[in-house]
Amino acid sequence: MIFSGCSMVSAAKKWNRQYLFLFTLLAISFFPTIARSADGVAVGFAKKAVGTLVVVRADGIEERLSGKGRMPLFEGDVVRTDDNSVALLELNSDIQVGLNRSTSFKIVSRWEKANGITRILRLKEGMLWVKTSGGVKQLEVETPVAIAVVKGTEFIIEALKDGTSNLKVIEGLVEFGTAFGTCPIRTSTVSHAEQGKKCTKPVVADVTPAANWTAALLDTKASKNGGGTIAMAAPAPPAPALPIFWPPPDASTHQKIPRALLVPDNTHAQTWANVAARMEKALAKNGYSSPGYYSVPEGFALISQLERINPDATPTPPNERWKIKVDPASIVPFNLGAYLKALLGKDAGYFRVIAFVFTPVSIVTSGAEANIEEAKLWVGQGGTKLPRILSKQLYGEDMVATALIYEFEIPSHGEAARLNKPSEHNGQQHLKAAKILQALGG
Amino acid sequence: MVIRTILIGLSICLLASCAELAELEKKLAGTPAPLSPRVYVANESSNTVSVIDALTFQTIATIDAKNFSTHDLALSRDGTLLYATNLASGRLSVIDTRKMETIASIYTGSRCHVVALTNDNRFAWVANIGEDTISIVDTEDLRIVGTIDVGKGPTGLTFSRDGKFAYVSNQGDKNVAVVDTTTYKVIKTIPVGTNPHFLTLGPDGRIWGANSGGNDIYVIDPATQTKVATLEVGPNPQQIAFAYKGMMGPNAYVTVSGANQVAVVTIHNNKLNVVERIPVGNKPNGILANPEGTRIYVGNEVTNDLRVFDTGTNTIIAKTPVGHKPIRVVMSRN
Repeated sequence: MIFSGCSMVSAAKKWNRQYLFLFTLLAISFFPTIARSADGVAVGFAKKAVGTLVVVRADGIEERLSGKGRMPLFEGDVVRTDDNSVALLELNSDIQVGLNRSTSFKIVSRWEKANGITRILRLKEGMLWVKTSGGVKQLEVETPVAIAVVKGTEFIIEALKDGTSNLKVIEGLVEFGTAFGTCPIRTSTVSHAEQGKKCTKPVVADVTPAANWTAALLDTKASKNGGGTIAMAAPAPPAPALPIFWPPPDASTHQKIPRALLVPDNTHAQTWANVAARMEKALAKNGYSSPGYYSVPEGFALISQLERINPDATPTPPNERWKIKVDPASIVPFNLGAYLKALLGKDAGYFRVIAFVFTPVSIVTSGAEANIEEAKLWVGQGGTKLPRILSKQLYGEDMVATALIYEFEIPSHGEAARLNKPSEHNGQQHLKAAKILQALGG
Repeated sequence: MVIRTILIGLSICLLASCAELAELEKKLAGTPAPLSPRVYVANESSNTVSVIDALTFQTIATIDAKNFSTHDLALSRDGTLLYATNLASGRLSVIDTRKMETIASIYTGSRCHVVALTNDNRFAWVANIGEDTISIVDTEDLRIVGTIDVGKGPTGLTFSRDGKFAYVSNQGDKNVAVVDTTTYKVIKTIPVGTNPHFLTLGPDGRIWGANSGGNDIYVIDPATQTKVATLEVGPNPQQIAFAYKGMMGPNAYVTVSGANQVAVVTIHNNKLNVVERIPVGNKPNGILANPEGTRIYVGNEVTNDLRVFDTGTNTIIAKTPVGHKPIRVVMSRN
């Protein structure tokens, strides 16, 4: 019996141990992952350094990586490059981070009961390239003046020596916030942040050159060079950027173009290229040649060439429509007054340029008066088409198309042209007279 | 017939009232019950926050800050969120006071020391001693939206009455930095004395501070951004609260840690005088006055308790055990 009793006690102890083990296992599994317990878990790895990457651990110990490797990174680590090095990291959850020269950041985090852990890269100085894949990530990049909240994207963020920061979004959407508000920054746009101010409205820019330095890190051939010197891959030729038409000069009048005319089938997602093509087609149908493309914040603009118009806003006949000076023989039907004026070199008359602006941003004109000599060149100085990276952009629900109409008048020969502001015709009359709305299906 | 009509009418009214009452009850059921006034104490060596009923002085709960060295506290105006700095972790804990649990933890900077909420409760400013910075935490999404370089070893933090200026005491530089809250730039530094720590907005709209490394307190006037008064109160002064003694007041109650007492200071324009000294316990640090100004609550670092004094008689009316090394005491309004 005693033996039996001992056995029972022993069995009970064993049973209790098993349960204790299970309980401990469960407790470890379900205990909320908080910063305190997350200290020992690697948050990612340093994969490659062209030059040398220095990782300063929380206890002050420094570790270095040159060439390829798999150095674990932990919360609290400070990661830095000198002015001859660039490096590539991979954080958990498909996040690639590139450090340009002279860059330093600290890996920190925020834990929320409702959302778990958000990884934060606290950029002190330099430039980071970040690319995420596989959906939305809980990743943010802090600079001294702003925070970039990653929404599934590729971007470059820079903490400048003067204390300001720049965000360049290569693809996707990034929320860029300061204490004064948040700006959504989309593909191929740039925003700037400084202490005490809201981040600037995004401006379209060619962001390709900004990412060229990452080529050395991502190119597998370049990686064979290992540490020591920087073997930068030949940078891809930068895509030509569109000139900027922002803020536009004061117009004679303007008219919003109904979305239904540009996106008639609202059930399918439309790209900027689709909308631009539809607009170009409508212009071509009415005698306009290819327009000039410009960039505006979060959108684009398309500008028609200077045309001569009648006092009723209809275009003049084709033989004189595109000429500033009129050939007397071209006046059909014959009109003695006009013939004499033309013969005497009278170039008086009305002229028009239409700038079609597509943007979700409210248009506030610059206050500068448009000049006919400059307006004459707008079409030629603009791009001939949308760059590929912009053409793929989705034409969102918030996009608004606005026609800014610049009407000029040369009262008589030799007199300077002036902007008619306002025009005697409203925007709708101009667009109807040009038959553009009709061509769009309006 | 008439009586019948009246009865029917009354029944309808009664039914209608019942329906309204039921509706009201339904609405009330969905409304969380208001909190009773509570005192929160940050226990630095326990990594916890003690929650004490301000009326019965009983401990209601002890909240794990989920970080190390819980040091300073700031309570949102509605009393629902409590922000706690944790020196060793460099993290700010966010505590849901209704659920009495930590719901978030944000790394702000090395050795984050004090926290203060902007007057609109939109941002929590956290002073990081180890980095000589202030982190600006957006209280809505808990993101750090900016960092301000302020000076060596920022340890005290408060805002002016109009919220246009923040005052940051820098123990290393022995000064108080004045930060313009519209530009986030330091516009002035005011020399104040040895090892300045705690700062608070006084009932007179002036900024009161203690030189913990010395033996004095000082007053800054936001109108001129200058130090306008100073007074020796005893060794190692820590924190300041404002209360009344009958008709007298408001008086400043200063925990004088090195003397194990609270010094009661009268305020007459720029003239300060110690009029009383109350023995309060061993190494008093955190001090709080109730909204009526009739009681002070003092946390004693060595005896690990919160003592409540009646300011009319200077007598102790309660002594509640708290966690180890209680540093900061705050109180909800309701």
